[in-house]
Order: sequence, then C-alpha cells, then structure tokens
Amino acid sequence: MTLHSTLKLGLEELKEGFTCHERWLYMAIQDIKLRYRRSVIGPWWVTISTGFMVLMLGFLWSHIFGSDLENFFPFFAVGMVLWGWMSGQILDAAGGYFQFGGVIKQIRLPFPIFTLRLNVRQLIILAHNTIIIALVLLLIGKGLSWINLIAIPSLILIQLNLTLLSIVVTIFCTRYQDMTQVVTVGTTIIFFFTPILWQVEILKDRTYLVEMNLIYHWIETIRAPLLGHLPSVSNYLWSLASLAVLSLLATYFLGRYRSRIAYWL
Amino acid sequence: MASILLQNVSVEIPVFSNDSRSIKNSLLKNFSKEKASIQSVTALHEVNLNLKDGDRLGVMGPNGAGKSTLLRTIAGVYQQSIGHIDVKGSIVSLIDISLGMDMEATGYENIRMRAIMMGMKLKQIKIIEEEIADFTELGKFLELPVRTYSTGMHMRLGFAVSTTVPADIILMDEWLSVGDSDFLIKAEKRLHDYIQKSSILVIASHSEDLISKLTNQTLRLEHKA
Repeated sequence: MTLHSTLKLGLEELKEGFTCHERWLYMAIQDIKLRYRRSVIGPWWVTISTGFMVLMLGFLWSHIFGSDLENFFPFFAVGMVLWGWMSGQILDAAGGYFQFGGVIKQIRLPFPIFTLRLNVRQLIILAHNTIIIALVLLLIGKGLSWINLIAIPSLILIQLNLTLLSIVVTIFCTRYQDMTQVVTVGTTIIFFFTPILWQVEILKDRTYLVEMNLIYHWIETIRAPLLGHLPSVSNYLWSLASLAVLSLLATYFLGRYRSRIAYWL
Repeated sequence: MASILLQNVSVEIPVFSNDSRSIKNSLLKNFSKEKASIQSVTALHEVNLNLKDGDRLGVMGPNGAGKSTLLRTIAGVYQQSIGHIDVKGSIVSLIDISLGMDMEATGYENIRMRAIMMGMKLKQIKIIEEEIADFTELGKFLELPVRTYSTGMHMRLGFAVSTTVPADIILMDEWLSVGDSDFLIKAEKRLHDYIQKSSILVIASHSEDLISKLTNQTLRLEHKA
C-alpha cells in the first residue's frame, strides 16, 4: 500500500467516525448513567472526591512551597482537575480496543467511534468537575472574569489533540499488550514533570524543562485563561503543531492498521 | 440493489503467540539473526461468490471449515489477504444476538443502545421500542435491568432487537431458535418475515434440511491440510 492510499483510507475512517456523533454521544452518556446507576448522586461522587483531594493537598503543598494561598491554590486546583481529565483519556486509551471486542468482531464500525465514546465520558466528568474550579476561583482566587471564557476554545483544541493521541495509543496498545503498563507508568512520570503540583518559577533558570514539555503547553492553554491571564503564543504554537503531527499520525495509523485490529482481538 | 462479489478471496488469520504481543520481543527481534515471523492460518482459500438481489445462499461444511470467517469477511470485519471484495447494501449480522447487551442496563436501554449502534436515528427508536415490547411480551420487565431476566427472557429480547433493524443483507450463523414452544412459533414467523424483507441472505448451517428449505444456492467449504 502506498503512503497516499494509506492516508486516504485513514482520513475516510476518521471522517466517518466523527460524523456519526449521534452514536458516540449517546453511548457515552449511557455509559455514565450506567456506571453510577446505583448511587443517588451519580458522577458527583467523582467531583466530591476530587474536590476533597484538591482541598487537602492544596493546603499542604502551598505550605510546603511556602507560597501564598491565593496564588497557589487556584493554580493547583485547576491543574489537578484538568490533569484528571487528560490522564483519564490516555489511561482509557491504554486499555486498547479489547473491551469492544465483541462488537468489533461482528459489525464493521469506524474505529474512532469507540475512542470518542471513551473521550466523551471523561468530558462529562470534567463538566461536573468545573464546579470545583468555579468554587475555588470565587472563594480563594481572583473571582470570575471574561478572560475565563477563552478556556472554552482552548479546551476544544486540546480535546482534539487528546482524541487523536488516544487513537494512536489505543491501536498501539491493542497490538502490543505490554504497552498498557508503559503508558500507565509514563503518564505518572509526566504528571511529576509537568507544573501541576509546582509552579514554573521554582525552576529559576531551568525553565527549558517546561518549555520542552508538550503537556505543559496543553494544560497552560486552558489553565491560563481560567486563572485570569492569556495563554502565551508559544502555548498555542505547541498545541497547534502537536495537532498537526497527531492528525497525520492518527490518520496513518488508522489507514495502516484498520483492517488488522479485528485480528488482534 | 444489494450485491456481494468475492473474487479469489483468501483470508489468512495471524496467530499471535505471547511473544509477538510484546513490544520488547518485537524490538529484540530486529537485533537477532533469526527472522521469526508471525504464524498464520489460512481460513479461506480462493473463494468466489457472486450474489444478487433475491439470492439465498446456504454455507455448509464441517466445523473449522471457515463458515464464520466467510460471514465475517462479507461483513467487513476481516479483511482478505488476497482477492477482491465488493459488497453493496446495508448489512445485519445475526452471529451473536446478545451483541453489546449490558446486564446492568434496562431492557429499554438495551434496545436503544443496539439500535443506535446499528445506525438508527433517535427519532425512529420510539417506534421500535413499542413494537419490541409488544412482540417479546416482556411488559414491565423492560423497565428492569436485564440481569433480573431469566435466560428465556434474555434470549427473547436479544432476538427481537436483532430482527428489528431492516437491512439489505442478512448474515446468519445457524438458525436462531428461542424460547418455549408458544413463543417459538411466533419467533419463527418473525424471523421468516424479517428475512423476506431482505434482498440477500447468507446462512451458515450444518443442517441439510434447513439449507434446502431456506436457500436457493449452496456453497460447500472443505477442510484442506
């Protein structure tokens, strides 16, 4: 197969997957409903537990770093909530297509459907968790402002990045089962390397450590407007560049391996 | 206009050992001298088919001859390694009627989930819900989680949902039979009606009787060492 025909196949698959949004949206909502069926407050459980963690750790870490609460706490809370949403999607993807094996082996559906279904689940949880962000900004931070709204287009940009990355990771983890562990460990390492627990200023003259970190740019694109300032140009450039690279990679992976996935399950 | 065209189609199914599923071993292989390749089984060998509207094909053969593989290949799940395939028309495969059923979800939720998966629009689903409730006689049970159902009730629901979404091409692995004798007659009738509405049927079975009753052509698959 030539590169051209591979990319063409992948693009078709990607397009088909995105356009049947009625399917993946419905399935994701149903998944969330089912998972929390037997609890009264449903997905708010996640919000409560995340909220508690942010509250406890926020006080602890601001004390350890000796930074003032008004500055550190919103930074940490927003970062943690966003990280939960991002890492959740990558960990879902690392599970591979195995959980959908029964369906994949019986009917032919565009593969992005399954990835989008998982992604939307995490988006729904994030939507619940925004209440934590709102509360922290109002009670401890600088309050809400119009700049916060810039976070919405930023979120869409990063979600697209994450969806494409998820497709690549899922295909990879379906083929090589030991990759699941690698991705899990990798995600934890990235967490500590990314300014979520700690702020960039701590690095003093070694800020290149974050400037070279793609995940930092992804988080910052959404976090900065929530904390009341604009994301930097380099945040956007990195996020757009990664979008271009990931689109190409996901398209290639889908085109190249689409017909192999059923055999791997 | 539905049609199925297979020209010289062979399907090779790769058999993965634990070694080949590990990236460590795959990487190491590049450095070692022996070129260990992934083994594969030839599941279909040079199959030719040309089906048009109104064709009813029975697929016969011993276990492991490739009947299910053929159905999956027509459905587009397995890709041929050699040959050319062209399938026109919407496909429903009745290989596993409890496909995608969730035990925790209610009967109604399962109906909706499956219908959505098969590409139905939310608006159309209201109508089929009522129709299925009527046919399965499950009544109030449809509002309860499927895990509370008996095996028979479970089968009825799966059967009814599978035979609701209309399609040009129907792929079946063995004739479906569900439930107690009363329901059996009803189910048979529904299945016949459902198949009548399709333009092409491909059914794999061991039973000569069934094949001669339902189909107008037969394909025999044989084992080959």
